[in-house]
Amino acid sequence: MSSIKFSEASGFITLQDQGRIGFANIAVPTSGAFDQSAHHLGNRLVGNDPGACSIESLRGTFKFSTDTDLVIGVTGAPASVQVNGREHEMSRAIYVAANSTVAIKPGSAGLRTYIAIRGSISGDLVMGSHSYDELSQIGTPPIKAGDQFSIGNQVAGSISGEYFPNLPVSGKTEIEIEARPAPRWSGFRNGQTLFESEYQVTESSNRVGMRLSGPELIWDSKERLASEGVITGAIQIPVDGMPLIFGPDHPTTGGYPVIAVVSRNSLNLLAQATPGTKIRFRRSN
Amino acid sequence: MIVSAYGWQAALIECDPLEVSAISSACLQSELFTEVVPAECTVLVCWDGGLSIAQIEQLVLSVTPATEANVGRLVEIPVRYDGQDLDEVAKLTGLSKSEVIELHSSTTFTAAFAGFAPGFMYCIGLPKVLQLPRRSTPRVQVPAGALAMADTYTAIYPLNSPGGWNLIGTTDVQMFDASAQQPSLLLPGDRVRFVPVSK
Repeated sequence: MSSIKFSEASGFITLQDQGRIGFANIAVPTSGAFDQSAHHLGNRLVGNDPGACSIESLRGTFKFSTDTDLVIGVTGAPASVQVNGREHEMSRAIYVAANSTVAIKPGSAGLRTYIAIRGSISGDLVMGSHSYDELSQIGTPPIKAGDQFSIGNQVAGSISGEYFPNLPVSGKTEIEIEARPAPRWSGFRNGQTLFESEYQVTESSNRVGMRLSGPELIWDSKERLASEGVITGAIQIPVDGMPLIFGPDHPTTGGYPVIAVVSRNSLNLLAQATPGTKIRFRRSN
Repeated sequence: MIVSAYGWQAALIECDPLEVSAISSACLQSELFTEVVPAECTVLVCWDGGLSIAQIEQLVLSVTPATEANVGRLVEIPVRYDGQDLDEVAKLTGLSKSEVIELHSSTTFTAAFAGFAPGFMYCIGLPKVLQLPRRSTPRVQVPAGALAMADTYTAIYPLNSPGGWNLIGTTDVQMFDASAQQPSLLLPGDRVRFVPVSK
């Protein structure tokens, strides 16, 4: 069977696909690729299904060798992509001959780089997904040196000749995020503050959630809110009044009120927002 | 009952706690949704593609309340009532240890909703006298299979994890197995009884 082997891997590098669907009622989050637009684009370049499993690297540095001819697509946060020491472009299909080594190093902007491989990479299939879920710690464990993964032959179409030079993440220091007030919106004393202020991404951010800092949002009700189901993109306001935006590995229920929900497109931007990035929320009704 | 949009492709159904189970099963059976997440007095539904709030309202309004005939399946879980906090629970409730055990094991609980960890099911129906607050200092490690109570709930910790609930027993039954066809032994809506065993 065709496979790739990692000779070097530092940083948080995981396998991600479309995630685990239909298990939120037993407290298993969806998980899956955080920046879905980059993940889908990579798969499109190499002719895979949009949700096929690929590598999600959080500014990781890694090298893998292949025992077979490969077609790969590198998308998302800018990175240096070298095949046998020669630099290649992101956002277009790259042919990699058998016995070559692919080396990826993070660039200067963004957070998450995706490497899609034609035929799809395979890890541990758990509850219908290869994705590593950081909250439940199920799925394929984060990649380390010495790991070997098989490459399948499940393709959806032909290799794309397209090139998207402008699509790698821009590394903007200010982003606008579209959000819709959630059912508990009216329980906040100053809900409008969310849309009228500037927030900042903090270091306490991962696939479970992104903590922001900025003006405090005040939950008016004295009563404890009963636990409710939450979704990826929900902006929860814990007791400290600072927004916490749930990522793909979020807990499935929560006892703090959700003020608003971020759109899917904006989540892709958030997946690439480095700590310190300034955020303005635009209200969508 | 209120149905409100929750983002773009989800809605929160607020209802009476006693209706949660019937609404969840109706939503699951409709096969309209990718996720149906019951909680204390809400059901969250998520979908792909297009669906209107009015369509969901219509579905929810057609739900008939749970009756004896359509309550969830009964799951019996063998437990040893040997938890580290059993003495303290007895002291705080003013009951004897055997009275605590008798009361807990003669109650039929309902698995209301999941949260905290895969397969962790909040079971409701705890008799008032057994309702105690969480421990002031949570334990760093609670072993998988620990039977616990806090506030109005009882639950079994499915995996080793931190935890602040009062531990009253242990089960050898595996509550969560990611490799199984049905990974969680308990599903929301199930009725649950804990059956005392000596070892």
